[in-house]
Amino acid sequence: MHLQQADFRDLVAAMAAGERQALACLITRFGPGLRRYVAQALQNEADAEDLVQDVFLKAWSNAARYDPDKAAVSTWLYKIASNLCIDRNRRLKYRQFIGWDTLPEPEDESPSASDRMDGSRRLAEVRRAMQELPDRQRQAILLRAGGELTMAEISEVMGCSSGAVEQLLVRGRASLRARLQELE
Amino acid sequence: MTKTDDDIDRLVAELMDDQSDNTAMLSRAVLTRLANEDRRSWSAPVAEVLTQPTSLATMFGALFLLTIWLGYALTPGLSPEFWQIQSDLGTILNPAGAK
Repeated sequence: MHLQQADFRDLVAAMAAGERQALACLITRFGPGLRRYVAQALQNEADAEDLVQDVFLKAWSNAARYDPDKAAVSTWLYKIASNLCIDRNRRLKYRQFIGWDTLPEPEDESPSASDRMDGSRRLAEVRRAMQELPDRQRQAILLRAGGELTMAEISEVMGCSSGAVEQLLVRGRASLRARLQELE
Repeated sequence: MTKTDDDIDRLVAELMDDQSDNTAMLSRAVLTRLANEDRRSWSAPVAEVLTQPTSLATMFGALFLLTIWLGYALTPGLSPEFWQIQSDLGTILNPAGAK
């Protein structure tokens, strides 16, 4: 089944009327993409599953306030996810600062030659390089790589102009490129 | 070898694809939490009204009455020096009122 934007708006309207089946449809369509985005946007991957659930619970409780003239359903959901990730990361940094949470163990920076050939090792390097990026650059790259949003929608989610998003992408990709070349 | 923008995007997409895509589990988890929250939101305010304010109000009332009773019970037993000290303190702290 291939749903159009108008169908998604209908789903949100149905959610506002209390239809849980509509929420399940929205989860089926946007759940995987949001999960992929959140898993990389959060500094603590273990929280990703909970946070994606929070996104849909928040969407459920705010469905009546969704304005289809202001944003597409995908933009609305990603904006909720993005705000929750920012909050969660901020809270984590604060907890680490006051010593309630420990900092994650730094991974080994010098992979062996055989490790370098390994796909999972390479993904770990990309993950580490992504985590070192400034938050805004990482967010722009993840939203772009997710492939579900247009540039205009990404700029709407991030609350800045398309030009600013382009700048963040250019700088983020340059930092990633440099970091990955260092690791190779 | 220098990576192009497309290479970078492909690597990041690959990293993101590394996640499992079990939407059925996600859907079930969200709907379960929703059902739990609904149940809690219906019963929680009632439980709160029936327990929290009552016990707090009872405790406050009991302490208040105890304080009043202690005040009345202990005042006659105080020595004259206590009243003298209280009067002196009043004069020191509020000299204008003593005139």
